[in-house]
Amino acid sequence: MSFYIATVAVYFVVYALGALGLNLQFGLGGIVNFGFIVFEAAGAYTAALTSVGSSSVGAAQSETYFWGTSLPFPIPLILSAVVGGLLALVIGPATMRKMRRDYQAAAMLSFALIANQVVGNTAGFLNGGNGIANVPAPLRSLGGFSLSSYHWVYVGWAFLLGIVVFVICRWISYSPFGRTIRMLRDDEEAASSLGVNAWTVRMRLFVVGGVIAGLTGGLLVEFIGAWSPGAWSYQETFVLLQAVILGGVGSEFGAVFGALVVGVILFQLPSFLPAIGYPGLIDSLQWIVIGFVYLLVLWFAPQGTFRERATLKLGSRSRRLGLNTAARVSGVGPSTAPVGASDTHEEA
Amino acid sequence: MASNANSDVRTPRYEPAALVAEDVVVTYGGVRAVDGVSLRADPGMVTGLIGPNGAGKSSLIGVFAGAQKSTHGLICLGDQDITSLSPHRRSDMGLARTFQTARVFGRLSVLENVMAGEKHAKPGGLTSAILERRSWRAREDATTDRAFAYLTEFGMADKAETRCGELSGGQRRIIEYLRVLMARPRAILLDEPTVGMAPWLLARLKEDLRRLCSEGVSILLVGHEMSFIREVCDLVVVMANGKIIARGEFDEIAKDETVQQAYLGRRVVGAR
Repeated sequence: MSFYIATVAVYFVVYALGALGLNLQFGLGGIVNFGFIVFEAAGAYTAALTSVGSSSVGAAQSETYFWGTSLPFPIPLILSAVVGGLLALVIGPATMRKMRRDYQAAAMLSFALIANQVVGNTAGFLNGGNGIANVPAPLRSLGGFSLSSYHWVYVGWAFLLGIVVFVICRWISYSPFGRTIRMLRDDEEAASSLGVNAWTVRMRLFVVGGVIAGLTGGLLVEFIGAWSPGAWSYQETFVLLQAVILGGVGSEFGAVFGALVVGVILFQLPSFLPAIGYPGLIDSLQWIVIGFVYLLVLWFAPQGTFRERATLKLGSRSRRLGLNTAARVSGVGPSTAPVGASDTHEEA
Repeated sequence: MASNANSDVRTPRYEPAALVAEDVVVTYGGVRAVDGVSLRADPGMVTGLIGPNGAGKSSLIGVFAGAQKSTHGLICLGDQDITSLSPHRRSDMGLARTFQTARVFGRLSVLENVMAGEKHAKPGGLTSAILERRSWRAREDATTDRAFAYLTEFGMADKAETRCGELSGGQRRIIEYLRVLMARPRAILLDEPTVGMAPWLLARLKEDLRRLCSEGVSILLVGHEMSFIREVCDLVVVMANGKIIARGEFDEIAKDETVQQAYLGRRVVGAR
């Protein structure tokens, strides 16, 4: 039971991180990245290859992959984030430079399908469809933990990382840079006319999303100890996308809440239920339920649970500013005469 | 803090510069929407651009702003050729614009929309967002003060935290205009700025344009409201069928037979 709860907790963090990364790209920046899971997979394979050692030694003898080494914690995790970002740096120009947003989405989906097929059908690259197993647990050897206590240590580590990423996402979202990416999302032409270089801002965002995705993959593979193409089919991106939409597009709290509902309650918990009916019935029902929830959200609460809020709150500042306005506008505004007519908001 | 912001904003950030188009051609398929137009908006003047629907005015504004590619011709800001520059680079050089249909950032608040015009609000990027929080926060405070002051002046302070997508067309027009003021530009393209504006705001807009002119800003204004054009513009240029058919002071233009024919829908002859 303890292992079960710990596993669900780690999956919660993994989904929350994925949803935060996708929220940054899609929710704030309007980048429809249907290939998000590939960046997560790149991070997972990186962490696996840099932890498991060469394919010719030890437990990995039965696996064939192009390269492997054994680096100390937390280097594999750091590398997973770096590789996620580098992949975004390579894929971003190809998909985002010239393409319209709807074509970007199609291109990213195609990329996800192609990448999964190539990795799954190339035996000597990343051990094909069987993937890489026996990835060592990073913190266990460091602290000499028992198996049961180790799981909870890892949960703690995952939550710590999750909180750090959450805070960074909030900082980005609430900064002037966050405002710039929201501007681009809402109206690219208007944003460009105000001096925003759409291409570089989008690329930065795409790379940050790639870094978070890579980190997420690394975090997961170091816990479950294995990674194969079955773990990163294109549908996984839609689970994250649904988490973002259900939680509230553009809201970090929404992304975490959506990850809890969609990623954990709807997607992970059923896999721990006792089998009912014929094999695969629960899996099929799971997608049906997820689809229904998606439709209900779009119908009844298209803004999601946590509606995106203005990142700048005036609070008591407005009163202070209001009191001082007459004095300040003489230097700031076009004229010194404050105008207070309340009929200003009528259409002429 | 407010006084620092004020001393900063009273001085135009850029040297005055004329906005110049030379022999600009814009074609859509086989149609020449702008056909060899040369036009100059000088600093300290409001240059009006009028003409019947389909004359090519908005296409020309698009070419000035960099949003519309020209087939031929040159666009200069002062002595700098900006023909090949993207809209964001032109903005960095001091060019600001409004759109024919007011364009706001619908999911941003009214205050954020106005702040978006501030040049130093250009964020310094991602690293600044994470690592230089103190630095951008100080700038943000100054920008917030300015933006809120403008909103107060235009009677929209109570809407500061409202999403811009919830505003009426006239209110959006004001927000778009305030963004231009926030940018402290040296050249402004105003595409039908009076549409949807309340009468008392039109008076205010006239007053603003005069003040901006006195600061050396070049203004090119597209409009249909002739009384406003007459009162505000120092020079009026008339376009029809993609060509300039007349230019001069409003009263001269109004008597011009070619212009009258163009507005009455008859065939334009003697285009200059």
